[in-house]
Amino acid sequence: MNEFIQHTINGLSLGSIYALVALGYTMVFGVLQLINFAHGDIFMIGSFAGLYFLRFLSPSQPSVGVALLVVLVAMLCSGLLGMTIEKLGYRPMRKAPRINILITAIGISLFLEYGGQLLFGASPQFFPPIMEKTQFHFFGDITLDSNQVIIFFIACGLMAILQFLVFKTQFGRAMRAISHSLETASLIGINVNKIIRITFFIGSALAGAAGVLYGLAYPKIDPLMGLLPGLKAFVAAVLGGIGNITGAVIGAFILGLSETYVAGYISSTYRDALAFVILILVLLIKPAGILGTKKIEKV
Amino acid sequence: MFGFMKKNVGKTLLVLSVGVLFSCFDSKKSDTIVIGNYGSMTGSEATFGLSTRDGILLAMEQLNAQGGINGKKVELKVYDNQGKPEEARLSVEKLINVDNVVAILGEVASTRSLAAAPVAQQYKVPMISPSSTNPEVTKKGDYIFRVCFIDPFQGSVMAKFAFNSLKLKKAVILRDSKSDYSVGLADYFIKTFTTELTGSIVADEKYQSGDVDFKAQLTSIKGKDFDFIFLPGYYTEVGLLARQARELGITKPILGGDGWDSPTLFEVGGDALNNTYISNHFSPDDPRPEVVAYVKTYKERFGVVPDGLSSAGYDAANVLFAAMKKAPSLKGEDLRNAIADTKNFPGVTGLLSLNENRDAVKSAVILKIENGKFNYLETVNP
Amino acid sequence: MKLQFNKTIFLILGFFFFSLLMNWALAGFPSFSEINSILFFKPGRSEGLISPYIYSILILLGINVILSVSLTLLNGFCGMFTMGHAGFMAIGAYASSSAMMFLIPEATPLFLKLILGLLIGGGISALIGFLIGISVLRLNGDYLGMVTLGFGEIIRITILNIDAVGGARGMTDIPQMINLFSIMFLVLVVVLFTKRIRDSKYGRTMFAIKENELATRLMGINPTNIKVQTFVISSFLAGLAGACFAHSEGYLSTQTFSFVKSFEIIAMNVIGGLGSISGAIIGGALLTILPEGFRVLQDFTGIDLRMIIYALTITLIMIFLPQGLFGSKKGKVKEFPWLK
Repeated sequence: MNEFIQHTINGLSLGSIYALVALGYTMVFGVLQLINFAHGDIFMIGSFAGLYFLRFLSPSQPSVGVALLVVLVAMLCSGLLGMTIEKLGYRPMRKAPRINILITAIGISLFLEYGGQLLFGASPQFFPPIMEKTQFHFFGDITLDSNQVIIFFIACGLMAILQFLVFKTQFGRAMRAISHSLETASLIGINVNKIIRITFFIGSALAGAAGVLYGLAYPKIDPLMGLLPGLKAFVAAVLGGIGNITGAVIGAFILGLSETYVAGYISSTYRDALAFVILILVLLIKPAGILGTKKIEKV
Repeated sequence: MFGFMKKNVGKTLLVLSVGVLFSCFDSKKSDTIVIGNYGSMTGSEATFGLSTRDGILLAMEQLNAQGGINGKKVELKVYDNQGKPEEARLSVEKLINVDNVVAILGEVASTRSLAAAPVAQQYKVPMISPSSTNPEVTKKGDYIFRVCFIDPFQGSVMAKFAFNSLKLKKAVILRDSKSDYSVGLADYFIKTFTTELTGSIVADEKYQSGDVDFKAQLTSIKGKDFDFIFLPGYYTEVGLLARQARELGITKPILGGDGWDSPTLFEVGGDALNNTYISNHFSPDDPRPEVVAYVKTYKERFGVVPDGLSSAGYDAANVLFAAMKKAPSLKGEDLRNAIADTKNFPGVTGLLSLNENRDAVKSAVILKIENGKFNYLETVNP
Repeated sequence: MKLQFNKTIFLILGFFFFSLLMNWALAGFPSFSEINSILFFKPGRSEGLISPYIYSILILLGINVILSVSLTLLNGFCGMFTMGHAGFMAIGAYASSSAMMFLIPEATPLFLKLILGLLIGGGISALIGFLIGISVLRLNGDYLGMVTLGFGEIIRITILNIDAVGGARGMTDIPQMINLFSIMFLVLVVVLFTKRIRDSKYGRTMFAIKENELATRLMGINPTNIKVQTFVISSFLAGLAGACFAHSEGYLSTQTFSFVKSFEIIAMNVIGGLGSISGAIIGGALLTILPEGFRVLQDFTGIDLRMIIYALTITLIMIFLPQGLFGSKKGKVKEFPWLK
């Protein structure tokens, strides 16, 4: 039983990181019906931005304040990167066929990955400890890492802020309007381009935060690290219902937990396959996801 | 105009690239002897490739300073395989068919040596691996050699050390299923530990190089009754694993092999590596005069103390050079025979003799990790 | 009808001898004492007109062309955008190699081994293609792409976990039976085959489905059958290419068959122009030669710029030349004259 609780704790920690990345996917899909393949690599860039900023600061004392500052800087960098990608890569393609956009997205993703290898070197780099790590022990055997707690709370905090933004502000209303119908939204006077740009910024910023949190939890980062977590976060978004923000979070936690259980009870070599199996099952059985709504195709 | 260009873009690109491709074929007929080195200069095992290359460079520079091979200088061509076996094969193909090397030094990781060795064997170019310990490597053919011990020996060394010296009877194995080295070494360890000695294996878990999260496997291990973990992996994962193990509250000793040998190990693992032990090829604290001189020269040249990888590279290069001097010619068969004849060669990793399987018979050292460095404990002779 | 049949046989025989002659021309003359050495001859270190390195690049080119053409069937003809094609290649490669290792006795004559290997590789791949084809019938567009990506990865991870074929460490000692002659011959046959499909009623239905699936259904044609059959043929060809790959390299690693490989094949199609067979060929050729050519740059600068140039090229082509080299915005794709 203890083992199960430990796995659950690990799974929730993993899930919260996936959630931050999945939110970005879902937001962008919501407004543009676009699967932003490069999102996972924005996550990676955020991680590296955090690492380099941390090295630049080289704080003598690890502390939570430093961690928050690093997260903020990473969020800023990835947000700006996301906006740039939108402007240069996706905006010119708005009227193009879907395949072309998807391939462009993949092209940008590869560019970021191998450009990252050029810029940061192809060998992995390691996050130095930012915060004092203490372990809490429960019932003798179960360990809770202070890192895991902080990651979980920062992720939940960001999600709460996003929730507020989307449902309680004018910007959020505009965003939701665009995701219903881009044409109608522009007809009623919403500055569509601006809202899309800001959506990209927020989504990418969240991914950047996830990157730093990932570096805290699993200190090894390398330029190709974004590919798999990116795909998994996408699966999480689809699982929850792509376009639906609460869905993305739920999907991410389900994915994080099940991945940890599979790795723990079956075999760790199948953990990556699980995400794809879930993807296929969802798309074949209920493509709208858990919280999604069915779209009727009009003839 | 634009239409014309567009129409012919494809053909232009094709012609251009074919031209570029063919242009890289001016076979150099110069006065140097070219040897090749392929290794993982980037990726998770980057220090392996870089260290080995540096050891080879040092040996080569010393050789050239003394006049080279019968007056001719030696030149080194280096390829990075990024840690991928297919790239290792391709690198060796290029070294042989494009750069026309007379011999090849490499690789460190057994998986990559195994991928590349058939190519060297096919074209009858001698290949000397400095540190691949999986026995299968030299079985690929009679042109494949190594200057290190093999894993049946290394596995038994650690098994006996754990059982006899540290008095630990119950082991948990944690192996890297992506690495022939890790899987093989784990098997040989288990063989000695359970059949020759009376130890028992409580659990046998696996991970893959590239993984960053081992909490799942470690959580399953934690609940069991064991004395130590045997972790025959590579340094990047070992560092992360050690950290996560300690975070989960596992304080038992961890034992490993020569795959741990890297300065990056300490960067990743930090204090989590206290109370761990490994078997290795080399210790910079070795008091023999040739080692002391080597350590000093290496430090002057590269600014750091040499590790096991660079020392193995150094020895491999020197064994090759000695054979080149001895051989009647540098053609494949003559060179191969000269290398096979290496007996009692005074390497910095120990006294080297190649047996009939083209493996080196030599001793291993056992090192303990304490406070961020390797500390010499004892030498085990075959 | 009879005339056409004869013409095809004549053509194929012609390809056979043409490929054989090319192999001799480029690799050097084998000893004529043994049939094996005639058919399976590969150049040694300095025997042929070209170095073994370029020889192996030409073989790789052939394999990539087969892959590219196989994807054109699915993607360019039938409009099904899949991102898991490398999975079929992997199945073909591993199936054929496993057959060599476990099923087919050593004593079989070499050319029989090769034919069996190719058939088994393509066949098993086609079987999996059939299963996947049936499951994804309802999907299209982005979703189809993502699901097939998932399938491709699942195939790769499954093979990764099968220890008997080397698993994570790769499969070694695969008999190397492919040389330039066999690859050239196969490429010519595959291209001819694809051209025939395109010109047939079958092919026209595929194009119709691509244009508007609903309309074809309303016309009384059941697109389901065609779609599944296209999957089967396409995966058979990809499996064939995979088997060729295995038997030319002699070594397999699951890392080769990742999503990046699937994307490379898509890129070959897209750069060449979707729907055009000549485009698929040129795309495949370009994307084999360019990375190798850029390796020279790597020697100069010490940095691997290949993937970056690759990614940039694809992105820029998508933005500025979206129909590719041989594609056309108006609906009619361009082809080489002999492929029209």
